[in-house]
Amino acid sequence: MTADEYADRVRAWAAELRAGGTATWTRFVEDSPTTPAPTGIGPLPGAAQLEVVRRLADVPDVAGLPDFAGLADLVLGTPGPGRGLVDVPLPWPGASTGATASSIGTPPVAPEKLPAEELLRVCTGALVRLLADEPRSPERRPSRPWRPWRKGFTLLGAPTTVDLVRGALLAGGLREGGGSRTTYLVLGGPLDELMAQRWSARVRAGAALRWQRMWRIAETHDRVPPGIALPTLAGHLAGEFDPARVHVVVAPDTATTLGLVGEILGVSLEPVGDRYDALATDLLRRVNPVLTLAVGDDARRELVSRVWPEIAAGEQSGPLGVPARQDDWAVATGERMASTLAGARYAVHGDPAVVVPTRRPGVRRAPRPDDVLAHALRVIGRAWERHHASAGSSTAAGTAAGTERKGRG
Amino acid sequence: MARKVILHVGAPKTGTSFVQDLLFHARDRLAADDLCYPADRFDAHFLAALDLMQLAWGGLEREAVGAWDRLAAEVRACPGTAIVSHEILARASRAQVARALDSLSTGDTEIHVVLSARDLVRQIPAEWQENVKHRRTVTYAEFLTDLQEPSRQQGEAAWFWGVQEVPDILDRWGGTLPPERVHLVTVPPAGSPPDLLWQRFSRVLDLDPAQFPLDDLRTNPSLGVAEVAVVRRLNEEVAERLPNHHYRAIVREALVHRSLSHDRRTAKLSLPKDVWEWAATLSDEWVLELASRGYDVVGDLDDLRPAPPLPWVDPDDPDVAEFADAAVRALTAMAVEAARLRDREVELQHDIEELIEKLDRAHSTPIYKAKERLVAKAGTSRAAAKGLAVYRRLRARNSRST
Repeated sequence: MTADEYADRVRAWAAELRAGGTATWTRFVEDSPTTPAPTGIGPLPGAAQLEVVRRLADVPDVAGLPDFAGLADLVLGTPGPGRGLVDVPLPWPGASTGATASSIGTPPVAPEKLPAEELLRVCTGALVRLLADEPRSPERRPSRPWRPWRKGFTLLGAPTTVDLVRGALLAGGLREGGGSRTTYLVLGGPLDELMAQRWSARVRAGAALRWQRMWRIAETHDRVPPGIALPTLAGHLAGEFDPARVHVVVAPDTATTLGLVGEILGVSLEPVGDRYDALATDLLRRVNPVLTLAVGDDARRELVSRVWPEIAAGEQSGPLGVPARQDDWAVATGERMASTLAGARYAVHGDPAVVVPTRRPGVRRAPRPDDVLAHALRVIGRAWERHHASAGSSTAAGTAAGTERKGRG
Repeated sequence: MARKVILHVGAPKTGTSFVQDLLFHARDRLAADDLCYPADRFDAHFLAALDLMQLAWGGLEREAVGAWDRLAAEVRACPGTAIVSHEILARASRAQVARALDSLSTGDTEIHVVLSARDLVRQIPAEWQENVKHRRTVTYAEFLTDLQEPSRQQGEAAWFWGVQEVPDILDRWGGTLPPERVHLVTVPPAGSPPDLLWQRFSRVLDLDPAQFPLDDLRTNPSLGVAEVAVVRRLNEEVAERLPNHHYRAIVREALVHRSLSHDRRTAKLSLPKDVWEWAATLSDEWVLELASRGYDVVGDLDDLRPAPPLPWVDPDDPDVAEFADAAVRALTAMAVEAARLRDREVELQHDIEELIEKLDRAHSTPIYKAKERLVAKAGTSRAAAKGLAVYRRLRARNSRST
């Protein structure tokens, strides 16, 4: 098999994938050994790019998106950013991709057998291209009407729970802040859940930190990250302000937290479910450095804060557990936090022992790359849909403006 | 418009830092001969390479936004020959190479690709040492096993082959160029005259070697077996304690570059016999392959065949006395560095005190005191406030000044 014949076969498969085909390379080679090479496919794509297109076509709703071929072209033309295998060729008897000796260059891999990490590199590159094309808009802070007669609150602790509770309290007519009369609420839960929420918040702020590394750092320093160190936060507030206005709420889930917060503030609140975003967070930590390179740090921050709901949408990963190596440290630290809370001079609502992490069946100790990949494919599909819609609307707007100008002329 | 672009794409550990240092410091002199080395800082081409290849590098990528396009624009604007040099470019994929070549060219530009290469038996230990200097904790045995694993999917294997597999790098970078514009500079064997490599580089870079003295240039000296073992062990302890910027300054620069590598007292890193044989066989295959390609070889392809094996000393199981000695030297270097930083802190504290004293003296003048009284009065008296506003308008100074 010559290099030209190899290239023709790869281009033929690429054409089939662009049309929404889902046959693996192995099946394609077996089933259609003589398909002529199409025209119009650019430089020879690598195995990872081709396999990502095939997987995208296999995701319900993505293959049916408008201009799937356009999405396929974007992926096929996206080099995998960062480290990893270089230009993975596809297996073919006697194939050569340029270097004549077969032992030179990255060894061929059947695309369907590529590790998820390799496919995630391509997904990261494709997603960055789509995000970098998102229309920019200055960050707007929601306006907060001045209503001093309303009860004020200040939330600290578990970042995701804080977001959810803040939304419920504002919807219930309370106001954030409130000066000297505010009620300080430090929200917490099991240490593993606190860490998962802190990880998500740090990654949204730009970190490229892995879940396991965050635990290793915490264990090495024997210190829970400051934003979720409940006794330290509450102790500081109680030292600074009236301890009677400081409340720590520890609960296993958001619904219970909301119930306790409602009791403390004397209001009835709409129930809110838990929110888990481990897969989106793991995807975003890969995207962060590449997106920074593409658009700069400030634009990345603005973009991520705007598109994060889209990145996190549809995730049903459930909670994350403590990595096995940090199990003992997590339990000891949780017990230390619980005992400090139990003897505190501020109010603690809920059982402080909730903070101690427990091994829960079915809970993963880290996001699995295969799950992150499946999530990434869905996110790319949604980003493409937005990209296509905005390209269509800008074309339509351009056409309308042109028509209007012609009309005036 | 650059008439010629010389793109030096690697490989790491082949004298690239030396070439880049020389070009950076001589860039004004080079410009007089219409030779451009466009760089406003020493690592400008490194940042451009990070940008081109979308590589994260311990946070440094934040400084690399748009760096490739800026470099390419400067290259295109160069009136004569432009030189770009960074060793991590060796890892670029075909798509990244295509983007790079396209962005550097203005249509009739003559692009030349240069790769400097050294035999695998010297490169393998050098790359592991480089890994250790970048805070990794992988043992030598693990590293060697990963490299020999055919899939290249373990550990650092993908990166290693990406930047060290000479025929594949040249295929990616030179595949669309005439072979005579692809230059392979071989690193001479150990014991060759010290300026021989520079003679070879200068030929492909269109430089007269006589015009460039070889003293005081940045080099990357290597560590001995016990020294590298100490640094790897240290990495295990500090990996999660030191952020990247501190690791770079304290461990890599102060400990490794300024201390241990200038005081190597233990055996050079080598390869165990079986790995040496595997590397030698692979080198022979590469040499045959490269000989068939018609590239411009500067030096001798036989330089890429390994010299006879050095005595094998295992850095994963170093001699205890040597390890202890290297550890004490490391501790000494760190104590000296701590003292230097402490002195610097005292100096800065002294500077601050002097500045405060000057500020106090400036604030104790009658005019300044009168101004202070006026500003205080403006808080309670409308007339004083108006007077202050008039005064500020007259002085055309911002509202924070008095």
